[in-house]
Formats: sequence, C-alpha cells, structure tokens
Amino acid sequence: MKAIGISILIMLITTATKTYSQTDSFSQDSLLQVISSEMNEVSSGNGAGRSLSISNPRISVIGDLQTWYQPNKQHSLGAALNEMEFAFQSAVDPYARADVFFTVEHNAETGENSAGIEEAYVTTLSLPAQLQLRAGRIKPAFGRINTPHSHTNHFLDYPGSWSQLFDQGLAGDGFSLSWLIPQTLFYQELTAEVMNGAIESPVFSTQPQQGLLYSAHLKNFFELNENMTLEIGLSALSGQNDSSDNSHILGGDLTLKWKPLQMNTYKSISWQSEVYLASLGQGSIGSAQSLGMYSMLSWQFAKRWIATGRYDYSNVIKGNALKHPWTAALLFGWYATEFQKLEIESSWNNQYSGQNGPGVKLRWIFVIGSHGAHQY
Amino acid sequence: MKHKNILLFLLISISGIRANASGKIKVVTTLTDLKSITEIIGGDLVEVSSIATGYQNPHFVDPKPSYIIKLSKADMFVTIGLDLENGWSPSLLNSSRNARIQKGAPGYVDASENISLLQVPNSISRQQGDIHIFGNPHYWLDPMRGKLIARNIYNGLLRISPENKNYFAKNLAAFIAKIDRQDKIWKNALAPYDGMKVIVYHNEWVYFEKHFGLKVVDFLEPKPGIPPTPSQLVKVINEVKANNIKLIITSPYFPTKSADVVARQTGAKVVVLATSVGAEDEIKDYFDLFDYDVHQIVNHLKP
Repeated sequence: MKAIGISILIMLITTATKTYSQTDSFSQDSLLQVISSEMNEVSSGNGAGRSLSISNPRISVIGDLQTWYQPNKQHSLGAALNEMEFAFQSAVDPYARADVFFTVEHNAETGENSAGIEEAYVTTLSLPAQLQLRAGRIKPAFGRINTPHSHTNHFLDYPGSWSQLFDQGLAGDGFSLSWLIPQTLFYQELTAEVMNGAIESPVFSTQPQQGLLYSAHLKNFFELNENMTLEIGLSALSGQNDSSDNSHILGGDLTLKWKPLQMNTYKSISWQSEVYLASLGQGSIGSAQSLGMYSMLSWQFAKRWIATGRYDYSNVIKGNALKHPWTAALLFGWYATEFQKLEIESSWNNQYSGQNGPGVKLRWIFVIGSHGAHQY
Repeated sequence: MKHKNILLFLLISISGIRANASGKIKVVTTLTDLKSITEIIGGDLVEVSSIATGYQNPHFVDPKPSYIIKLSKADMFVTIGLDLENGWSPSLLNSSRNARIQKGAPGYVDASENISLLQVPNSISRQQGDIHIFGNPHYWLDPMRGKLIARNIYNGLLRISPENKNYFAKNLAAFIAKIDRQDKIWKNALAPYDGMKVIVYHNEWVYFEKHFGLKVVDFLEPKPGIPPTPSQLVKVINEVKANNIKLIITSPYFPTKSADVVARQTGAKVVVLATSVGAEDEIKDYFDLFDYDVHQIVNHLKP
C-alpha cells in the first residue's frame, strides 16, 4: 500500500513537471508573432472601454487539490478537491468596497462537500480619523494566520496548537473597526471586533443566542531597513463557549522578514512565530488552561522555490492528564507563476487525535481570474 | 499632566486634524519616475515620496504596511496605471483610509490618461504569460510620453491647488522644453545605431525601442513573466548569430546569468539599463534616466 501511495505522488509530480517543460515549445512560434501583430500603436485613451471591472466585480476562482498518504490513519491514501474558492471583489461606490468569498470544502473525515460563505464584508474607504469599518462575515485579526485564506499559507495543515483552538480559522458575523494610530515612527494599527458568535469553533459557541464574541489586535510593523521588516502583534479573544462559560485567549506573534528590494522575487527569508494562552471555562468544573505555540522558517532559495520548516507544541489537559502534543513539518513549494503552485509537505504528528504518526501531502493550487495582493 | 497629554493626543487623532507643518502638497507616487516629474512640475510646493525604488521590479512591489502611513496623509497619489501596479497598489490604497486619493477623487492621478499605448491585445489569456489587458504599461520609458505624464500630473496638481496654476504651468512648459532639447541630444547619440537589432530580457522596452529606433528581435523570457529556459536561450543564441546582434538589454532586478550565457556563446554584450529614476546613484531625475541609458548603449557598442 505504501508503494502504491508513493507511486501516485511521484506520478502526479512527474506529470506536473512535464506540463511545465512544455512551456518552452509553446514559445517557439507564438511570442514573436503575438508581439509583432500587436506592435501597432493603439490609442486607447485611458483604456476605460477595455476594462472588465467597470460594471462587474473582479472575479476569481481558486482551486485546492490535495492528495495524501498517512499510513497510521484509517483512510491512509486519498485525494480530494479540498477546496474551491469563488471570490467577487469590487468598489461599491466612492465610500466603500465589498469582498465576497464563497467556498466549497471537502471534509476529509466524512468525505462530504459543503458550501458556504467564507467571508463577505463591506469596508469603508472614507471614514475620518484614520478609521476603517468592516461589516459582514469576517475573520477576526487574531495573530498572523487567521485572516489569510488557506491557499496562501506556506503550510498545508494548520499548526496543531492553532487548530485545537480555531480549527481551520475563526470567522463570525459582525463588525470590525480598525484605527491607524497617527504616529510616523512605525506602522501601528489597532483593531477591535465584535461578532455574533463563531461560525465554527472548538472553543467558542456557534449559537448566536449564547452571547457576543469580542476580539482585539494591535499590529506593530517596523521597517528595520529597506530589506528587513519586523512585525509584532498582540491579540485577545473572549466569548462564550458551549459549556455556558467563557473562553479567553491571548496571543502574541512575531514575524521577521528579509526580502531584498532589488531581487525580491528571487530570494527571501521569513521567520514567523506565535504563542497562544487559552483559558477555557468549563462551568462548575472550573477552567482548562492551555499553552500553544508554533515557529516557522520559510526560505525562498530561487525564483520558484520555497522551503518551509515548522514546529508546533501545545500543553493541554485531556481528561485528567496533561498532554504535550507536537507536530514537525517540512514543506517544499514550487511556484510556476503567481497563479499556480505545487507544494509537498511531510509531517510527523504526535498525540493529535486521529493524526498520529507521519504523513505526506501534496497540494496543487491554481488561480484563474483576477486576484489581488495578499498581506505582507 | 500625563493624562491630559494622552487626552489631547486622542482628541487630535479622532478629530482628523492633519498636521502639515510644511504647508506643501503631499504627493505619493508608485514609481520614482512619477516622483521625479511631480517634483519638477510641483517645484517648491510639493513634498513627494515614491513607494517603489528605482531598482526594483515595478510589477512585484511588496505592499508593506509602512507604505500606508504615507498614503494616509497624502493629498495626491500618482500611478502608472494599466494594471502595472495591480498586485500591490490597490490593497495599499484600500487600507490608506484616505478618501482624497481614492480612484475618482481629485487627488487620484492616473498618469496613463490619454497616452497612446502599444501592444494592446485584441484578446487575452494567461497562456500568453503576463500580458496586460490595457496594453504595455512601460510607457514612461519614452520621453515624449513623459511629456503627457507631466501634463496629467499638472492637471492633478491644478485640482488640488488651482491658485498655483501659473507656477505649475511655467514648470510644465520648462519641463516640455527641456525634454525636447534633451531628446535631440539623445537621438543624435543613438543615430548611428538606428534600426539596430537587440535582445531584451523582459518585454518592457517597446516604447524606448520605438522612440529611439531600436529593433527588439526576441526576449530572454519565453513569455512575459516566465523565467528564461534553456531552449529559449538556444533559440535566442541562434537569432543573435543569424542577425549579428551586438547587444542584450536587461534590467537591474533580473539576474544576468541568462544574458551572460547568451553573451558567452555569441560575443554579444550585456548591458543593464535603468528602467526608473534611482536605479543607479547618478540617476537623480527623469532626464538622467535617458542620459544614463543612452550613454550605456553607446559605451557598450564602442569598438
């Protein structure tokens, strides 16, 4: 069985590599012809008539295909269309813009697909006092990995220390108010959010009647020099859980990046770490405390290649026993262009429910349509 | 006392009062070339900063949050447009919380307005690589189009500060006159090489090529945005030999490895031209940009 799994992975990688080696042959006769035929000057004014985005929102579709081999799991070998994301983004009017993201997700445990709104929000563009209001279904600005969509991550599985608290990420319906603190020494942004419970969460209630979920985040961004940046963030979350008690989570994040301006598409190094301290109320029993962290080092060593190593660790109470689950993962990502990438992740999980032991996953991400920049 | 200071700080922040001690019009541009032209037209009345430096690839600028600080205080924003900065400037503008510089506001200046464009595709597919739907966006590398950029910036400054129309108009006229004077010098220097065939790394020299009479035969990239491949280099080597091409033009933000391979195989020379002001220390303004590039070409073709 192991041999079959490995064979499939090799076959997929080989097929993908062959596909890209064909890029050359396409170029032999087409590029010069295209350029020559289009060399004729065209006066297009400001190009307004050509814009596809004047009346329609910018639309993109992002596919996430995965295959895996995890010998210690019941469903050890498999493949799935893990997620399809459909994004619609546009200005509403001079005062606001809107972003809507639908997803169809595959549940690896049940094998079923489910469709839903991942995010859908309207954002103001013209509030005074450097304020910005966002309303709708939002992902609160907790730490560094909650707001980015999963296809942008330099990992396939979220850190165990994260997923035991937030699963694939925390989202809720509500409001987010961010304030660009008016000082010029460094970038500082304070964000406060209130949501009508969580959409899905292991530690917060998903029932709106159970009360509101509050979140705050302070982002501090320093340009150490033109090639190096440091971001330090503090986060807090508080809300009711399904035990009719409260859960409180504090977080700290640190990201140090080296990315030379002149060759920023060819090489970079990023070190990102987060720590979470959670207090999960359990009614009359008291409360469970947990400490979690992860640290991740990403190295872009060529225009198309990124290697990432990650370790995460938690300190949690399961029943009456203190457990110390951890995961170590190594990922190689190959970027065909900014619209397509292949990633292979090898990981070793210890003591996470249902995921013990080694595993290998392959992910193929593709983007069609318009898709804007991601966070720095 | 401490509490009073904190209260005062909060009141000033929330009331939206902007301290502008210099009294100058604050302008943020995407590229250094736009910064240079804005400084020339705006003179002493403007304070200009550029997001990108002159030596980085304008397609792939990282949208660092620190850029938002400048944008949040800007009175005017100048962009090349045509989706050149699509990967980074829209997200920065959206986060700037500054209504004065949003698209459609008086402080938003699209430098490409009314500029005639080259390589406007009739249809578009990403199979062609990084093709721009509006046309090739590297139009600032033609000094004649530079005059139109200056006029667009002038129009923007007029919207912000109409009382200084005469001052801006005088600077615009001087800029256009100097471009015309310098252009004769640049064209004279390149006249012996009129129609000369060249190889370039990326498809960003079409306006420069057309204005100065060069002829781009092929690119080191097999398609725009796709890194050079061995078979593309073989194809280029054959073309260089067949056409007796003397020059391979590349840019500061591309590695010279591929160009060097072709040069070694063919004897052609590799020249790194500046695509923007500030690419080299000596390129202080928009005129220096063409001075530098023209001299580089001439110097590399000397026997």
